[in-house]
Amino acid sequence: MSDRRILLAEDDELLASLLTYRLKKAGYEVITVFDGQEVKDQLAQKVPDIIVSDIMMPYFSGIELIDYVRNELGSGVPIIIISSAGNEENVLSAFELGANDFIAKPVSPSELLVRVNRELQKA
Amino acid sequence: MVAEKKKELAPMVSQFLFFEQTAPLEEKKDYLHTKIEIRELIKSDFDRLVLAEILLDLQKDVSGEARENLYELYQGLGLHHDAFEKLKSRRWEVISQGILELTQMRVEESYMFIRRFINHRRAVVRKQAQIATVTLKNEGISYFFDTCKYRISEWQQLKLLDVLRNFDDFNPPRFKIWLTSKNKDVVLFALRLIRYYNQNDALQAIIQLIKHRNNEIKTEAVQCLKEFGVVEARDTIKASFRRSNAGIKIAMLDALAEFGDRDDLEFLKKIERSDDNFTVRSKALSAINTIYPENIMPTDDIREPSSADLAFADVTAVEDIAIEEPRLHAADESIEVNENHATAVDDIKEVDETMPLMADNTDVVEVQAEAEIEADQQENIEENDSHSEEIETSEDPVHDKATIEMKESVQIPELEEEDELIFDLCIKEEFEDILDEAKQEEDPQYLPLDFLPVVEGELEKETMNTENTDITTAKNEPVDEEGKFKQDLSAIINRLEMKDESKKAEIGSDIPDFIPLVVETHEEIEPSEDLTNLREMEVSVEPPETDNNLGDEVSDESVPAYVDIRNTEVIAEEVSWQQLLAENDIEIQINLDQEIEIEETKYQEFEVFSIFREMFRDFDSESKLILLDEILVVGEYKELCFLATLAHDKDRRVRKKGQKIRQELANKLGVSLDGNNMSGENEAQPAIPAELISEPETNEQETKLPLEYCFLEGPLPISKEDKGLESLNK
Repeated sequence: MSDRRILLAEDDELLASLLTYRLKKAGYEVITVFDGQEVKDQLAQKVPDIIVSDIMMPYFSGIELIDYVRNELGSGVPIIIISSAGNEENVLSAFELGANDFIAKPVSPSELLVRVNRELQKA
Repeated sequence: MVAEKKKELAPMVSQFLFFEQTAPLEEKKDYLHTKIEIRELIKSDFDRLVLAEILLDLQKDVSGEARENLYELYQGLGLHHDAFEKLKSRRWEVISQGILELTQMRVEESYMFIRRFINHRRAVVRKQAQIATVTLKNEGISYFFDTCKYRISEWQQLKLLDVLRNFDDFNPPRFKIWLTSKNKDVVLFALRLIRYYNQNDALQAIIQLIKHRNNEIKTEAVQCLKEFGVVEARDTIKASFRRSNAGIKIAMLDALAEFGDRDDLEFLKKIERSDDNFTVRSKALSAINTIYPENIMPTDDIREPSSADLAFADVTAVEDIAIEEPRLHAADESIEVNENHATAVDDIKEVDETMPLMADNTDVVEVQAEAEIEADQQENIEENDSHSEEIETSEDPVHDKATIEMKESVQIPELEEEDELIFDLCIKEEFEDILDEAKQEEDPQYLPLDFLPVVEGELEKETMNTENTDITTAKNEPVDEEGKFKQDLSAIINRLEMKDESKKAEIGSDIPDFIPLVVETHEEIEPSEDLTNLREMEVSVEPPETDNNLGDEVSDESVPAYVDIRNTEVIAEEVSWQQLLAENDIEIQINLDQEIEIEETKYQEFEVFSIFREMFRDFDSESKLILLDEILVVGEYKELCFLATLAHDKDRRVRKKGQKIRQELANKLGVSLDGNNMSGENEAQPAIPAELISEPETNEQETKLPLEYCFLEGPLPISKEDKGLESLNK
């Protein structure tokens, strides 16, 4: 499992730190970025095995990220979206653009881990 | 500083949150090491503050086990003691912050400390304490209801309800016990919670609250009873109705519509008649129709069908008669009284409407149909009578009264009116037959089309066709149309023959409606700059050269008596009156001499409407330049006229090329722009009138006519002395 690389895009540093810790503890290599530009930079270097991204991010929203990955990079890498509860419109847009899964805030780290595992198994 | 400290402490917090007892020894060692490190850190007030902030932030973003671990960590590190200290502060904002912290981190032991702030004089502290009390313990809501002395705002009620909704294992108390609270907001909130939790064990208390002086409580009680469908509340609602405001009345009418029955109809009708408020009256009407559908039928702005409508309906009625008849004779006795009334009336109408068609062919059928009407009417009246008897014997006086009123409101059509209608329709049928016969005499191939479904437009046409016969019809509109058409036609002809100056001055205002349709269309279109230029152009009107007095010779008498009026529609769509003459085959009975024929030819040729004008109106300059080349290829005389107008185009290139193409086209057609036939081969070919091919003159003394109308005028004397032409030719 340790060879699996997760790109975590979350602008809340505390939450990002908590989730990163949990995912690393589960054995994944986690690259944590805090805004959309960093996401682009990371994707330019290497496409991860899975992307976990918040919808609301500076410079480059999660929706734009999905569009970028699917249409510009042409990658089918699994994408899990994190969004506030009730943000139905964005979630639907995310799924339309090709998001694989969605998890609502407040996030349960354990639940996120299960979803990541599942998506990686599918892939 | 705080951010850096947060970055430093965040991983340690994560390590604490996700530590598992089953973790490997190495991880356990790390955990212990971190624990010692944090113990040292929290000795500093600043670090304690930052750590508390981290935990408070994180608890918003995480859920599940991680959040529970956060609560434990918060209390495990003793950070809640700081919050307790805040409660002792004399500053209300510190107290409020302490309450918030303890509430967010679910410190249950703070419940007893916080609840004493429920009636704090500061609204912020009070509201914070109310939420904390309800949040921290299940019994908090009871304590809150028992002790709350202040007003509870709508927003606060919503927030409290939200807290209760999010409890996993909340066992709501019986909120009816607070319906007697001295605090009206407590009563109101309790009512809302009763409704939310469907606690319908306090119906009598809620019914009593309909009489409450407080409008909000009253409304909430009514809505509560409506939701629970408490039929017993009807009398109380009706009794309290008069003293309520419009909003409550509407709520009450809603409730009555929900669980009321026909006993309430009288009350509702009274409201519908007498209440001052329009919305209340409408609501009462709506309630009546909800309780008793179609009790009140639309009466305002209902248009009675005309005889033409009935005749139109006959076609469908005769098709449906086979289906309708069984229904007429098999009236279901179990149907409600009012429905029977309505059905009876409808049935009578249906039969009446079908009558004329049934009587189309033979008198025998007509007699039978009349007999059927009478029989059906008698049958329906008998049915109504029998139902009336049922009502009279019923025990329900309200029903009786309502039914009597309804009976009064239903009016069976008088037979005299029906007879008149039938008579009119029979006469119409007779006329149609006569017309068909007359048509057949005129045209052996004429096929009567009365077997086809009659549509309104055809009816009109049929009426128009009666013009061809000597039959006098009841309607005289077609006769007027013929007269109008003749007038229009003679006006056109007169216009063409106008010679004297006085008549010319009237040209602009006295043109028949259908002739300058192109002009009218132009007016409707948003005028482009080109069009504006065109409109400003005027041609000088000179007396025609010829002495042909077309107006004298082509008079109304010359127009044949038979002119198909239907073609007036075609006329209205066409521009050229010559097309009208051709399409209608008008036989002018006078002998026009050769000069007149030539004159007619001229008029046809002088018609200045060019298809390119339409195109040029909307095209850009580049397209115009391309089109000009096409004009040279396909252009005719009328294009010469049109090309002359391009001298006013806003684009210089178009102007220049326009004149060049005009010259080339004139050469191609063998026409001299100065009015002479260049070739001289065809003497009959008229020269282009100068007013069409020359640029407009600006002689203000002469009567001006818009260019669009110039085809109505005769040829004008053109001479080489004309300065405009000379300059144009140059």
